[in-house]
Amino acid sequence: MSNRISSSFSRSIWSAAARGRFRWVHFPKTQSGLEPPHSIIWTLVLLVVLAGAGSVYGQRDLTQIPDPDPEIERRSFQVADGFEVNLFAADPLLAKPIQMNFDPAGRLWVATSEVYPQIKPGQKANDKIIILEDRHQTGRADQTTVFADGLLIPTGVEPGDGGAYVANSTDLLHLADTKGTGRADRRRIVLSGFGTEDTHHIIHTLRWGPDGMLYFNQSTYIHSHIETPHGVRRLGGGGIWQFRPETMQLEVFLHGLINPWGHHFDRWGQSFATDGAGGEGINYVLPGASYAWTPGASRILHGLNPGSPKHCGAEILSGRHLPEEWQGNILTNDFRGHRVCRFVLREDGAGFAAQEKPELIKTNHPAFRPVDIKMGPDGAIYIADWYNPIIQHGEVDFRDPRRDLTHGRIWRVTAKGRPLVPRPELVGATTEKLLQALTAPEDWTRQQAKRVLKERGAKVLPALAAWVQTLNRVDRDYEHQLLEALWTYQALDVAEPTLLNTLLHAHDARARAAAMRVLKAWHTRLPNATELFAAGVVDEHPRVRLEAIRALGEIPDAHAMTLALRAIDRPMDLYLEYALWLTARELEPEWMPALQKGRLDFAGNTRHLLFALQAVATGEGVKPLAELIQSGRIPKESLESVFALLAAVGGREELRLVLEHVLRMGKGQAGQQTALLAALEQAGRQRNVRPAGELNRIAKFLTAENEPLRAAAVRLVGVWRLESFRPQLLGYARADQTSDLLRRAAFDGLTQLGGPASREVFNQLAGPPHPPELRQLAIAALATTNVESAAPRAAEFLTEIRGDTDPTEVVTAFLQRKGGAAALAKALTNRRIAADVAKIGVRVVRASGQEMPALVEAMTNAGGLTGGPRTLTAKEIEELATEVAQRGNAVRGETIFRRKDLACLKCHSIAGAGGQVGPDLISIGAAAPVDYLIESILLPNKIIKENYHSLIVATRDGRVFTGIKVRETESELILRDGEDREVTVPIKAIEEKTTGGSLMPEGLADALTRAELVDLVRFLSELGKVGPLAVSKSRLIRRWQVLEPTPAARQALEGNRWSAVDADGALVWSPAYATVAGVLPRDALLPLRNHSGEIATIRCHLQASSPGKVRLRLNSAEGLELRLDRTPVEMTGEVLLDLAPGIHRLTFTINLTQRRDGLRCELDDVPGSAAQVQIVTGK
Amino acid sequence: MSCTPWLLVPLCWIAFAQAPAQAAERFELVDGDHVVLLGNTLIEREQRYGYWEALLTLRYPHRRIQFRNLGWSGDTVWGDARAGFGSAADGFRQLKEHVLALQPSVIIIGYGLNESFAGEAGLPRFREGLRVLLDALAPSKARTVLLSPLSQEDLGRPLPDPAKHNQDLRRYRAALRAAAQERGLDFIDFDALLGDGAKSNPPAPLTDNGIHLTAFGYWRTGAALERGLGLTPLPWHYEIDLEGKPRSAEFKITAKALPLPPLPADAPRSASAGSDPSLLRVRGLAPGTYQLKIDGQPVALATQAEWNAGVHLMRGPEWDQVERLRQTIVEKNRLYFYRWRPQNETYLFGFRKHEQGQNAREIPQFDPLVAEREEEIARLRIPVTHKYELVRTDEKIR
Repeated sequence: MSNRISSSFSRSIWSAAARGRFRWVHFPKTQSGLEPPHSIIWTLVLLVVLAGAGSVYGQRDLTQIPDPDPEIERRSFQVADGFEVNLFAADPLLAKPIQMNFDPAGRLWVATSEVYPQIKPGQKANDKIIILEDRHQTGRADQTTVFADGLLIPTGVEPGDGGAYVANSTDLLHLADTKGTGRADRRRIVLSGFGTEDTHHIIHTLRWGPDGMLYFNQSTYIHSHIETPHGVRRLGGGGIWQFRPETMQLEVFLHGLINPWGHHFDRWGQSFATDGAGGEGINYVLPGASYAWTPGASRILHGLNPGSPKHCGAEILSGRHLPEEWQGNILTNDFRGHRVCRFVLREDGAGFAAQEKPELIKTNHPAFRPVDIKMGPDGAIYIADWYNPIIQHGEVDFRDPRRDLTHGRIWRVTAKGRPLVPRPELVGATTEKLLQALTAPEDWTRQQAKRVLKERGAKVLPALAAWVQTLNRVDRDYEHQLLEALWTYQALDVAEPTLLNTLLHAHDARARAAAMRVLKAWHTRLPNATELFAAGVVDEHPRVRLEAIRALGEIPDAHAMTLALRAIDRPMDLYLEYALWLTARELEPEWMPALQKGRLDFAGNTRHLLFALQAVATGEGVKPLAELIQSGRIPKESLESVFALLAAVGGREELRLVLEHVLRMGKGQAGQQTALLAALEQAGRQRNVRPAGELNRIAKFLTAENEPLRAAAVRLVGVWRLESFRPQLLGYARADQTSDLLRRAAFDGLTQLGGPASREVFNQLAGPPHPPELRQLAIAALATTNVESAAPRAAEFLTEIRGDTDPTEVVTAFLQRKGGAAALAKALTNRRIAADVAKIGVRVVRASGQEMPALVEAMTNAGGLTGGPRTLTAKEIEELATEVAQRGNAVRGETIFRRKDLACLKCHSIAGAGGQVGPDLISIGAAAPVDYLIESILLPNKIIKENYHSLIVATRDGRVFTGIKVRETESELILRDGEDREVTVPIKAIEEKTTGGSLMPEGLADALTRAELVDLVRFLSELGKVGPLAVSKSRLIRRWQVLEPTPAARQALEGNRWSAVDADGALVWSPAYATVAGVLPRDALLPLRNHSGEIATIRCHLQASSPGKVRLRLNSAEGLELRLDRTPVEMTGEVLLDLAPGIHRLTFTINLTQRRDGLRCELDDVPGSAAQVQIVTGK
Repeated sequence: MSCTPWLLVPLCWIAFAQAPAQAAERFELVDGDHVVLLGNTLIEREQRYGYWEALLTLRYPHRRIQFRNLGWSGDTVWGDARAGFGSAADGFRQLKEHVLALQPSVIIIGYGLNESFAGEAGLPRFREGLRVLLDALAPSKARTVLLSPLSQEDLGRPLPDPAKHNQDLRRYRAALRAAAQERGLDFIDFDALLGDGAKSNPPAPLTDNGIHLTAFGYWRTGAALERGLGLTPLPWHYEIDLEGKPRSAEFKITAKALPLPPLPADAPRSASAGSDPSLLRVRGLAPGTYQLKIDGQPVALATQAEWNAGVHLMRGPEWDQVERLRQTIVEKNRLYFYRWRPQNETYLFGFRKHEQGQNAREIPQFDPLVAEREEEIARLRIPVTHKYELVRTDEKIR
């Protein structure tokens, strides 16, 4: 019997299930809530056997399919205290809901698609917009109307203007019911030309803004080219569009985000977005800014919660039905982890902070896929549930029979025992009543009232003006009411300068900030706009300054730049800095020519000029910068960054200034000197520019005490071709005492110097009797000059070494040269190498992402290896999956996951802590079926997570780079290689780019016993599920750095001056990560012996965006000493830290003789403190 | 069927078109022609409405002409909208390769609107881009038609005042005309062709945003396109001469070609003014009011005097057929769109094809579906014989 079930068979089973012909027993909730659905497995096994198919493949498909009864799903929900959930609507009334929005009448419009993800040949595109009505106010939809059909994957709907705007693949449509039949009878293409390169990403998330404009989003891979009467608008990649239908004005409101399926405005008009493919939680939207994955962006803003799972939908809560502490919270969905998540938003300088709280809903029901969330007219929360046992992403076959095409739910969440909001009557209300509704506490009511007012048009203006006069100045919401009036004017597109002026001078900074944004929209209609912006730039509240800075970017005038730069006379923060940077770049065509012609001097303010020049970072700005340096006008604190910029973009003369500066710097500045020399090295390598003047002065550093500085100088000797220093380099390359860092620098320098002399020495060092480490470097250096002649030396080396020598360096060197793999393969023919050497070699090739079958075969043969990495048949995977469920131990699994030899954490992070090469595994268990996990470990290339295929880049000079693409600007491509290093490749140097496989090598699990594999998979399968391995919402420090016990460290510690030594870059810190539970285990520490016994030193970093006090909670203070930056802190179980803005280092010295426990360290707020502090995550 | 005693059946069928034969026309589509439509939204949206294609199809009921619409919103002579993940140069390469692969014998090109936003300063670059484009397509040896961009309509505020942009559009139109003249290509100046009163008195806008044609806009510009190509309008005009003043009549007509498609639903009330509707004249009826039925379907009611002068027909089986023809064309274009601009290209053919490349095989499966629609188009474009009946209604009532 074939192992493969026919898809039509599984489909028929599935349809039977869908129709409810089989009633499958829902899996019982066990104590842990983690048990797999055994009953389903057995029912299905029985079913399959009865059907005579006997296919294990089919069973695996089917184990994921739960009983579609909505009540079973509802009962599985673990709901936040004080809330309950009821079913508002379900299949067959709606199938596959994607986006929903209410209209002012309180009807819920839902975009649904059964065609998704890809229309089949012969299939009619017949997707629908449906309207759900709860006419009797029972909390359940009692009428469903198909408003429109015949659509192709409609991914968004927003009612308005006598019908609804619908995102329909390439088009934004307006569908209208002109005859009152309840069905659309008129279809108008409003905008066309949206890209459809990926149906996860086509335009979506339609939302009216408080300003009356239609906002909608698109996601990465999408390239849109839209014609409007104002010109063509193009957007490649993700972003949020802003559109005013009646004027056809279309602009890009935000660039980037990978898949921003959530966007909402807070009470004061500030925007927040979530990302269904990014991992940074809530994103505060700075208008015009770029976020993750913006093509070509040289600088991006980040989300507020790095290390988060993916989120879909976003809704900010308001209204009398919900408890006070939920007001202003933002809800979003972890559609992979089956959770409806809650974040508390707080002001943080010009921007915001978001802190996650326990979920509104969580469940282990495999088909609960919350994708959209909205508040309703009754003050309740509505959740669209795409209902699907698998997430329908690209790695799952479009035609996978498990893709559910028929189900869908809308859930309604209410607060127990709290009265609902009386549904507002808006559609037929008098204009006065509508204006009154603008004072409602519910955002829903105010927003919908504004929609109705807007659609009534200019005739409401007199009443609006009169209403503003009636407002009570002592009402605590007075200024917000004025703002609603201002937004109504904006929605009607009528400028109202008096009201605007009042709000620009409001007491509440949030009102001023919102007014500043309205001013930006009206600035061409107001004669004094520039003056008003000028006042905003120096407003006492940072967000008002931010809005003013961004608005000035719209004014094509050099003077606007002068005004915007005044912002830096006040305290700056990350967002202000970014905003000003952006404005400086937008206005560069205005101010740069003026500056160059001497018509502009920023009022002689050096800091202002400096900021502008550093922002644009172009060659044009270099001359004025150099002049500033020479006139000695650069403030001391800016010197380093100015020289770094000069090194990055300057010509020969500017580089000369940098070199002279480095030579002038005193002792104790080795760290900065090293960094600047590295920048000069980059200029030489990537731009082929060397400083003017005498270069031999670099000799001074060739004997520097500080080793990194010495190494930097050694590399520069090579890059600058300073032949006269060759002997020194040779000395470092050969000497026994040379450190690894210096030796590598020497090889690099010699490689750069090139010539027969270099080759000769490499050749000499490549053979015996030199130690293997030296030989590897020499062979690698040879390979960079000529792979053909290097290959025999490499083969010779591989033949000689035993399994205890790691040949990675040599093999990698060949993979990094064009033709290298082929040459090495050829040289290995008829040779014998140790089996273990061959194994590592094969693993290195596979981890490179390059397919080099000839080299793999050559090494396999030479090593006498049999077979490839461990593979399993479908039946074996099935058995293993069962074993994982029955016997797997997640606690043991975590220990295996953390094992150094498996190197899992080298590439993968959990909740942001860990390597960045592979996907974050925070919710992998909730998102991926067990069979997928098993296959992904054993055969990493079979299904590669989106965005984690490697890119293989060959350059014109014969080098080959492999890595995951991090970003690409106009001039550079940045890759993350398998060692988690960012590698920059100049675009100009690229000859060819191809897509490679996974960077995760096959055979990583070969070292595991079956029991260990079972435990490991069990651990992964629990990640993100409700239970002990759900990642805690506590702010735990997960990413640590451990001081390596090097001689330098020992010396530094003895002299108790390691802090100073560290600044010189002489200490080595390696990463260590806390367990999922948040503990850094004792065995992750690296002991160092000093006079007081065994100690270990670890550190972590905190970033304070708003200053103030925070609390650090430790599991115990035993044996700990703590320094905040350089200052000792008194140790107790709870430590109060008072942080200034910026990045801080927390260094713990742990006396291992005294302390037995690992370290758990949690960050907590201090009541009343305005501090906003993030834990720095990453590698 | 009623067979009344006073029925006179004088003629089997009489049909003569007033339009001259097409042989003498400057521009002619011949059997086997491959027509590629290339351009920006003007071209892209045509496929959603199909009026131009229907008009050119029904004109030659016995010729097999294949149309392929390669319009792309936001596109330019440089292929900007086709760049995908690459550069405009990649987009242009894609454009060129795609057009040439279709082996066109006729290319209808509609560019210029998007380029014109660069104003006068952008003209040299546009001329150069146009030259490069036409050179790139020259290997096809196709007869090439350049369409002018339409003037931006002034639909009042809050839509933008088009006055300034229209000055620029004139410059770009002139550049297109000059290129056409230089190369001896057909040039369709929509502005000149539409300045015929169809848009005024009362105004019947062709767009709903100033720049993009509505369904009516395509219906109306279809006729202009024909005229611009030097094609004589092909009116559906038939005259019947009866003898003996009968009070009813029955005859058959096999039209030479289908009538124009009926006005779209979004057409303004004033839209038919200036258009060229179908006309049926019946001379020699006895006085009275007559209902016309075609194949039993009532389609018009008019007096003997009115029939004598000629009655404009806008519905009936022939109009149903031409509407079906147009809808089939739209459907064919939709299927072809799925074929050449499939969704999820990134997964099917692009850098994530390792995930869904196995499903790329579905995309060529649209080819036979396109061919099926083309068979249907071939069937629908040929007029069939219909039975016409005129019955005096006033007598019936009596």
